[in-house]
Amino acid sequence: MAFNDSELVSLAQQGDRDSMRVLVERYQDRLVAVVVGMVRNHDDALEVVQETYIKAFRNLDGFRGQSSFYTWIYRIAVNQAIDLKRRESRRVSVEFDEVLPPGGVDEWSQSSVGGNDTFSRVRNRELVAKVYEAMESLTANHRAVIILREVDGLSYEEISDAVGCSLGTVMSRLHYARKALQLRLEEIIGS
Amino acid sequence: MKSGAPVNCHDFEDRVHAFLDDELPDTELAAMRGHLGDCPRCEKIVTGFQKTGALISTAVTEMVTAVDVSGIWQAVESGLDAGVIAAELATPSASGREHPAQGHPGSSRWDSPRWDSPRWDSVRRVLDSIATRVSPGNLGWAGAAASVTSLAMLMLLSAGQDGQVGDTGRNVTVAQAAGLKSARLDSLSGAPGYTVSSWVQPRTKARVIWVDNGVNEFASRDARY
Repeated sequence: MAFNDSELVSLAQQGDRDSMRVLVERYQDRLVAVVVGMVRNHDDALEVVQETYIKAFRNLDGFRGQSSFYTWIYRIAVNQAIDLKRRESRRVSVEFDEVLPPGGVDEWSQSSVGGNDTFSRVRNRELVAKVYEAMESLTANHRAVIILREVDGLSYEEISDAVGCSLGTVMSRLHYARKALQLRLEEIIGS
Repeated sequence: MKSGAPVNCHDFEDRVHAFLDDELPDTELAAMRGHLGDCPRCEKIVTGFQKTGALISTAVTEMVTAVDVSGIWQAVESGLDAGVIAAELATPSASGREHPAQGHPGSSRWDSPRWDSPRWDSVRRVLDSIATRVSPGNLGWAGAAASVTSLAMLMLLSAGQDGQVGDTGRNVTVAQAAGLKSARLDSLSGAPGYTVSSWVQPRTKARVIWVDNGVNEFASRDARY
């Protein structure tokens, strides 16, 4: 019988590693999807997701169940991703960053995934690169909201829990993000 | 807009996002759908936003398929273990041994590293999983924070063990590969099967931990511990 989140959290609060593992595996794909959309880079996304779970389990005693477990970890992940982007923007002077393999959308765009034939692969890569470029123009907060909605399909209330802002702010960020992205992707959407 | 009242284009645009996101009550939803059926202009607005959403979803999904999530639990468990080890090391033992991180390689009085402990096994599992992703003979990068935590734990656990300080040629290569042209060697030590060194860039305080397990070598790109 599969345990629900609240039963698993209760067991994990007592230090049960098997329950923690189930919670990790249950949400890792969804978390990666949200985070990779925010940070653009595979390695960074994995780092954020791993740190999210470590932080969540270390602070599990503080989880009282007012929100669902997954909106709680989304909140941690979104904050971790925003922190990482802020650190990155301050890290321009760190010399070894320049030699890192990007492991992100640029690397992906040169790989062989994403399509059935050469034409569609090239087209898909170009589309992905353009979409990510457009998303880069948004602030981290706007990006978080649009990804939670469009990729993970969270309701306004769940997004509000996950990013820690009011329903009104969720709506205004969604409006702004959609319009800004549509404008930047006009060429693709039109075709 | 009153619930269930007829909708004009202005009302529709006001509520289009809630409409797209299925956040409207049924009565308003019906009125919005009624307007949409009669208004090509508003239909075009909806189609545009739907296409934008589909593009975002597709792009992110394409990216995610290239991410290997198989090691996440292993890294999380190692990170949790690392936290426990760090807490234990931060607490002076009853025998009054020094905190290993406070000693210098070769001089620490912490003389019984727990190489046989299950936690060292956990750290080693993460290190080996990183090493398998690195091409033999090439320096690879361990970006994930949990991996970095494991590397940091390895440093703590291995402090005071015999290092290979004489291997300066290789160390210089590592520093150059890491872009740390003026880095200084902070410490160097060994663990069973591993050589570990820590590098600090004086100006930025950036730190890189380098590990060689005899087959592959890899470095953290920005370790904070």
